[in-house]
Amino acid sequence: MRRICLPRPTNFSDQRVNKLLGVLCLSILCGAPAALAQLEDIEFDGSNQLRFDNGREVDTRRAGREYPDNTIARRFVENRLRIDLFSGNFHLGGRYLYFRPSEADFDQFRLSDQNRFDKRFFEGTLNPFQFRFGHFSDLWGSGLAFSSFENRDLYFDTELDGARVQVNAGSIKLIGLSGTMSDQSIVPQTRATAARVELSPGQGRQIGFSYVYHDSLVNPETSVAGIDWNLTRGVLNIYGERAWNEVILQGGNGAGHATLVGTSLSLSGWSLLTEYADYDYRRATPMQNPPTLHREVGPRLLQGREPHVMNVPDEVGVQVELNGNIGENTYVTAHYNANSRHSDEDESIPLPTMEEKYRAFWEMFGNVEQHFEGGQSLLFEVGRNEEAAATWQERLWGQLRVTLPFKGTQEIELETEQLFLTDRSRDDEKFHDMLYSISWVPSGHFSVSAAYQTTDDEELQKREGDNWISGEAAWQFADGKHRALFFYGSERGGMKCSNGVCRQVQAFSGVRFTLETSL
Amino acid sequence: MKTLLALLLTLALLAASHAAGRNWTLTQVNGGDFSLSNNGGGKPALLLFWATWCKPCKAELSAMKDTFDELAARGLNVVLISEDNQKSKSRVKPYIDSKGFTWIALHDPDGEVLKLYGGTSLPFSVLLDADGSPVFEHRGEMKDASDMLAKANELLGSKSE
Repeated sequence: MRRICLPRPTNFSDQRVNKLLGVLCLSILCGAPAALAQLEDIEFDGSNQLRFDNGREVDTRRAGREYPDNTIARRFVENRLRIDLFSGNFHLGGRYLYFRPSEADFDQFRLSDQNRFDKRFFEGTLNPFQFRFGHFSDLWGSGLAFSSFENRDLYFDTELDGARVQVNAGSIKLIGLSGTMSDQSIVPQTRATAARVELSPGQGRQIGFSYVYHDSLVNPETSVAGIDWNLTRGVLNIYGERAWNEVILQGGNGAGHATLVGTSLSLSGWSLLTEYADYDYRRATPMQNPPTLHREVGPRLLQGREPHVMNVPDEVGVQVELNGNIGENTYVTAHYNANSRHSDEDESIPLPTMEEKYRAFWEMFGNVEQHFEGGQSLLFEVGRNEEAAATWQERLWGQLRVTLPFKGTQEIELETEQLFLTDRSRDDEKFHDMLYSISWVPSGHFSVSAAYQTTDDEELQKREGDNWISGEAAWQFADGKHRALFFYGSERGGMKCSNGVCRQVQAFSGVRFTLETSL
Repeated sequence: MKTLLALLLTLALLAASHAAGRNWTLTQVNGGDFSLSNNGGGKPALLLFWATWCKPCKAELSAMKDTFDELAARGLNVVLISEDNQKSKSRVKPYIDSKGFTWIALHDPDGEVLKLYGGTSLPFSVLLDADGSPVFEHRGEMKDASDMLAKANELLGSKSE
């Protein structure tokens, strides 16, 4: 029988703590920073981010209808107030979240209203110990065994709520942690206990050993052990990690493994990166977030066309990237990657195959960045890829961006992207997507931009409209303490990837306002 | 009750400790740890938060390279803090090496130090005085460095040209 152990989380949460932090928060908003600053040896810091959307977005539940009948109202409010108090070796922090998701977010992502301290922690250093109680995130090695983080923009959160202790003893570092993942709607609640030993036997040499134990309702009891290394000698850097997964399943154990090996060689203004990965976890847990072997963020049109999302339990890949300077003002990049599923003919060291049955994604591109004496710059990129996992499309693209300074501090930026697609899953239909944008920066504090996108893909036109026009203004004031962003218009939906997490966002039309403030 | 006691203890520790200010330790891109208080040498610092996937960050670093080089030569710690997490962390060193950035380069894969200074998006720049307190910040790509330079010149004092 599948065993599930979910002991009471050792979290720092308590209604009384929330109340006290609430009082602190209120006092900050009422002008207490000045009073706090007068208290000797205590430093206060805080920030606030307000985001407001009002418009309409495509609703996936109305798939049978055409745009704009397939849209629903989107009203979305989020405010995040962060407060921190520092004193000597101690730090007390928290974040107050006011969140009103839109109706579509309620249904599609199971998000709910929130009005609470969603983050709070206390950390300190008492040599040789460093400790943290409350919320924390961490990355060990390359992240094959343990990687927890929050990406609020995409509502992804694997931060732990518990305790983390680190002991620094010369060239040896010991880390222990125990906690529970936030009970978010997208990431299931998981309890984790982990330990790590890190040895640094000399400059540029590091080796680490990790052990992680997870237990959750979705992922049964799992043990992960890993070894990682990072060696730098002169112009050469060699790094990698090997992790072993053992999942205790009903009726027997399941085991998987993952390997990442990489080198980077830097010489005379040139760098060559090569990486190989064999991810065969079988059943990965939310805390195993290994590196991708492809560029995750590319031209904007590509992002709206199902960028490759790595299949962590079963993917093998390689990537090679060369960066360097030709002369003083020209910087070039050339890249190639190939990723596939494991094939039946795998040897002991599996390699990505281009066999149709197994291949997932390949891409090659090159770009040139040219800077001119007058401050002008130019970026030109051409590339080709094939996504054969989520969908089956071949794409060829070109991107050109020109930046032209004038009248001293002003600047104009012109950009175009052209994307040619062949959709193999739709009888080799061919499409052409286009993007044109212009930005004007009259000063270092203010900028405005406009963008126009269009496509001849009739299915997309039916779903999201014929074209997308938008304008955005950004204003920074009070010595950079505040920044306001105002967006009006329409934007295409698609896969949005941000720092390792990808998520489908729907086409939106309306107003978006963001205000970032340092307190 | 235990939590309340823990909080009271916290506040007591806060009140009893000395040498106010935030401190942090991050891993250097070339190996080893970097601590603001131990390795910063008591010098003012310019923290440049960026990532390899952030186009405006890279545009800013390229365009401002000469300015940052000059500030570093005048005694300012120019610190590149990469927000690349495990997905793209390996691209950081090759990019820095090929661009010829010789400043201090650190990894902040879980964004803890970015959050410490109130950063919510990239690029984000913060100028610290010799005590480690922020005196200037800039959100978004720095197209015009004059405000930052004015503050940096104040901090560098007699060393300013």
